Amino acid sequence: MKKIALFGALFVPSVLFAQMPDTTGIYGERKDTLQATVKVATQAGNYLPRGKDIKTEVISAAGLCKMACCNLAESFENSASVTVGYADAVTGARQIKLLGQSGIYTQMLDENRPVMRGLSAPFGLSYIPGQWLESIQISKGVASVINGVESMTGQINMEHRKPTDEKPLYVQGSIMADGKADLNVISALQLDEMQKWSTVILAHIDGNAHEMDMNGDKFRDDPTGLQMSLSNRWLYYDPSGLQVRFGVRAIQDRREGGQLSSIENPWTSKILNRSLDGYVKVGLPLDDDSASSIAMVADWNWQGMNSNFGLTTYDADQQSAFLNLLYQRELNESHKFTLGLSDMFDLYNEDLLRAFGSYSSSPLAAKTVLNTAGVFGEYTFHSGTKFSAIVGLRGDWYKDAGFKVSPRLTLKWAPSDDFVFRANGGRGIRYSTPLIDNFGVLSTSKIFKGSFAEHALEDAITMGANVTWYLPFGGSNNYISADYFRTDFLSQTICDYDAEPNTIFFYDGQSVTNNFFLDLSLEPFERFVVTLTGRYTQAEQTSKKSPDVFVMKEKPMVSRFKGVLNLQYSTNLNKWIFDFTASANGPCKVWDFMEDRYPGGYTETYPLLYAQVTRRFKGFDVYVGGENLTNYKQPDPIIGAENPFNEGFDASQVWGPLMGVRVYAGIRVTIWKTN
Amino acid sequence: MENQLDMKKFLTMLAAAVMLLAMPAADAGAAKKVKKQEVVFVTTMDCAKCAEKVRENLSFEKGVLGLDVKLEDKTVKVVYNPDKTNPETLAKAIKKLGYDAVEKKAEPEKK
Repeated sequence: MKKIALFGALFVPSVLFAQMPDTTGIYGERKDTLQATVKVATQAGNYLPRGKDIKTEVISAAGLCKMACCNLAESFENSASVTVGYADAVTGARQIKLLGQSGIYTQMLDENRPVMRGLSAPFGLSYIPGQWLESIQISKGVASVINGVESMTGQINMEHRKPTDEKPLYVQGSIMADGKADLNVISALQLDEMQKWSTVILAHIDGNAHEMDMNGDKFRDDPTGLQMSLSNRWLYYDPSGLQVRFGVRAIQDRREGGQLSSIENPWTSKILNRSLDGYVKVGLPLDDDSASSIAMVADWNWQGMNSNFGLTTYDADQQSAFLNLLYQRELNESHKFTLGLSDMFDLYNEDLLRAFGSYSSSPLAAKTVLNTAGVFGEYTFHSGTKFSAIVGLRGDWYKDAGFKVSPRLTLKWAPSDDFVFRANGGRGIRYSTPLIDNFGVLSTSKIFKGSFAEHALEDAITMGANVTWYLPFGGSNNYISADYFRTDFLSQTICDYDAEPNTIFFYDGQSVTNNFFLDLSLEPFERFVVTLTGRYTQAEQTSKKSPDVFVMKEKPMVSRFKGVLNLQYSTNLNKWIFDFTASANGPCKVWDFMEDRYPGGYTETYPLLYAQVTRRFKGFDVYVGGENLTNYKQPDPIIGAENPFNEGFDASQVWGPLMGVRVYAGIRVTIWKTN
Repeated sequence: MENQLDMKKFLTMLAAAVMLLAMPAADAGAAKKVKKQEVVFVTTMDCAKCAEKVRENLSFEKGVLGLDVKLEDKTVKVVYNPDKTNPETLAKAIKKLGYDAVEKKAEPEKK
């Protein structure tokens, strides 16, 4: 048992995911999962597992089925912690916000490997099919230092379906009323009796051939196109304790947004994204009782993008490599430490041509190498289940920026089984990639000025605390939880639309965000779960008033609040599942240049409704549902839509839905392994 | 306009599909009170995914009315309609999934 727990911790930072399903559960005789909570009575979608050192919101496989969930972005629709939006109104690039900051400051992990970095970020959320995933874990604030300190506002870890799943075939297909369709085929195979070798093949295709323009602005609401991805993951497990995981993934996505093809000489945005990546993870116990172990994680990724936005073209590619070497020793049940070395390498090639109206310029044609080499240590103290403290420290050498030290601390105190207090805080650092981080700026006819071609270090301190009270009645998932988090960016690349007319100015500035969260989950009667969550955000950032005058003012395009109500009822044996989600999305401060369109300077509050009915049969489920049932659409999301080739055009100010009611239907077929 | 027509057509089809799917549920609600018996199996399932596999498959076995899969003690409690199935058939269904299933006899009452 000790071996299993230790190994799980090596592959899975214990701070975050100590009880992760099957990442630890496949080892040994798989008896560790006897300790796991098995939700056999209900289909719990989102829940807060007890006992974690850091508060972790889990979206389970059942939760991933609540929405049409064509991709990862959509799976956050019923979370108040994570706000999902569009980078712009033409490319379909999705972005999230956590703690009032862009999703680029949230570290995305694929089974605890950093992913969706740099050029992979703008479209990355669209390239993870929801049906490929087994669960998602969301944690706010800063946690482990083991995967670097690029996590500045939180971490989102994705657990894919496992090679050890006893499902030789899983097929899911769905179609939306607007013509968008997707198909996933997954096959998990155990290749020998001892289950030493197992593999999972994941295939996905989605497409949208039908142009939709629900708001009548002559622009497609969603790009048309075709995306294909294929992944193959392997696990080798030797009873001696050695285990090796490796895999590859390839993606191709061709999409076209912009004006309807029926228009003469349309403004269009054509984007071709291609990606190839591979990884290997090896873990080995060093002694018989496995008190100490070593592990290695290596990852390589290539991402290429060819794109145009009207007459503007942006071609780029990125090669990234990541290496993490870890040694862990468990002295006894109370004391454990991890030491490690890591390196993160990125090579960018970028070529930008800006052209609109009479303006034409080639402001960027550069090859950039970024490298971060680090050494780290993490000490964990547990006093039974009542108290834990995790102290992490990293020293990283950043190419062109020197050596930086990043400390982090996580505390948990549980005076009783039902009451938990947690706090975490520390430093986060990352290289900025200004154009990629603010991808929407390409869908504008504005001149870029300032440091848009530089890769400065962004530096932030995040601190926060949480109290969770598991209610002593009803089911085990009844709780009230409250959080507060504050992020202080000491250095951040600000993308300012107001510094000069028809210009986007990039410069080094600061920002402060304060975030309050309240979560309530109740099961008033058997199989009926009510979840109510809310967020309130105060955000300020530097604003350039004149060449030398900078002031702090409310951060534009960040919604002040969001509330989400989710109701789920399932009949006996979960043969029918009814799901309803309603959300209220608060106003955003708009940029000054938009105030003639928004009297008062704020966008309006809008509601969103989702509903889904699932009927389950032996071996297959069918479901129908609807998104945005209130049919609310952001009025005139594209500024200057009538003259997109000229100055004044701006498709990057998206704060609400671009599409109205969308209904969908789908089927999931599972073939289980039998004797 | 064409899109709106498509949407109306799709919504009508959707409503029809929901009604069609709902018919068996309404039927079940109106059914006569069925006989119920209970059996507990001790199994060899030893992981959360094994429990999921048992639950997902046994829920749809003919005659199964209720299910409680407990990984902690590796038991599966089944409430069933004796007119439609029996403990032998249920044990076979669990064995088919790859786990041994032995019926747990009720402990004699202490005097």
